[in-house]
Amino acid sequence: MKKTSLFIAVASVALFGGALLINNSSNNLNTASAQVENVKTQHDLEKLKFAKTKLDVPTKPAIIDEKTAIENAKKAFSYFTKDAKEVTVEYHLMTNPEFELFSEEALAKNPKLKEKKHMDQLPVYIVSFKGLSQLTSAPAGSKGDMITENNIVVDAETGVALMGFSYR
Amino acid sequence: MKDPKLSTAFLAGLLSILLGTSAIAATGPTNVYTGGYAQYPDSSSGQMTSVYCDIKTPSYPDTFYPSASNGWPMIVGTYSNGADKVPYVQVGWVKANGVFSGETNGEGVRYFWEHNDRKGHFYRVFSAVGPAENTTHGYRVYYEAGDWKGTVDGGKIGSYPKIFTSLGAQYYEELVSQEDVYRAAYAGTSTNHARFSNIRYFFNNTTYYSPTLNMSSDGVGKYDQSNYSSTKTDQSQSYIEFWDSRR
Repeated sequence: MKKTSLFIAVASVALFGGALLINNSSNNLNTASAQVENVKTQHDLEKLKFAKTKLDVPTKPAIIDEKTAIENAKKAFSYFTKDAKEVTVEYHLMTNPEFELFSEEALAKNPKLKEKKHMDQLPVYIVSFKGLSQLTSAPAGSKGDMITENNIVVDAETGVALMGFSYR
Repeated sequence: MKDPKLSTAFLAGLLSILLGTSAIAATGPTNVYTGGYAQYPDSSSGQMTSVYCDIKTPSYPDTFYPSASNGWPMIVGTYSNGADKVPYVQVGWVKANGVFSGETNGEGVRYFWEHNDRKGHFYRVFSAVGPAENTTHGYRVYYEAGDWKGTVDGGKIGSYPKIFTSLGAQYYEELVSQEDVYRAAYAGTSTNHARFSNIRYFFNNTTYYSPTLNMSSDGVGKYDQSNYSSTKTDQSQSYIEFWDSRR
């Protein structure tokens, strides 16, 4: 009986300790989960911040798929996407109070965008077309710089290509 | 070819044309212009803090990939660091297609905003929409609370912190291509000109209407400023017209 009691005691301690460890691990996971909540992106958030653009983590899945987003980006922005050597896609909530020039189609299909008149935590895909060699505009008597990447923002709820931006 | 002088002259002329064309394609300019500018030598008397103009976009110009045909007002910094290091911020319209000319009418026509301090702070924004043919739109770049802002017809298009000393205003049509830039055309034909009106800038807290501009052209782009005058009461009737001499 003594051996049995000792076994039960040791087992209880082990189980309790295990539970504590699991609980701690869970806390660590929660911490890690909170870190995952931060935006994971290949984009230069500092540059975007200069342009008053902010990315946040979506709270629900996109309605359209990535393939449709890429196709719509190419269709709406042929010059800016042609000859890309690599295409990447990210899904974010985008906020940018400094851009309002949306198409009638974009506004008609998304009531939230129409109401706000700008992207305010709007679920979007950022489709990045990389490996480009495209010259920019420049002052008279000067020469444009070569850029290598164009990014097309596609409404993740309607599939409409909204706008584009470049910074490298 | 019976007249040897004629045939020699003909061949020489043909060769000259071919060589000339080849030279343009291989080593020609990448950015060419028709329009005008006003530039202050330094900031001792103030800075350029706003530019504005209305641009009438006529029938769409031909473009090809990779090329673009633009029209814009722009604020620039100093040229003292070299022509290719001139910082700028601009807003305008552009036609740029993935194929020759447009896939469909209006395809590839859009508004754009661009900031470049030439030191790593390049940022461009472009819309999915642009000006319809034969319509006029107002383009503005201005300084507000530490930032450059850009608008088209009052609608916001872009913003970026002001990080360069602003000394000049420019109003141009531009062709851009790293290949043969002259396969693209300037906006405007001999019978349907592009028009820049209501041209003004804000320097040292003073607005200059239809300011004196140093006009220039690459020879292919043409301009007419016979109706451009700061004394006109209605500044919409003070304008410079542009067109492509080949159209």
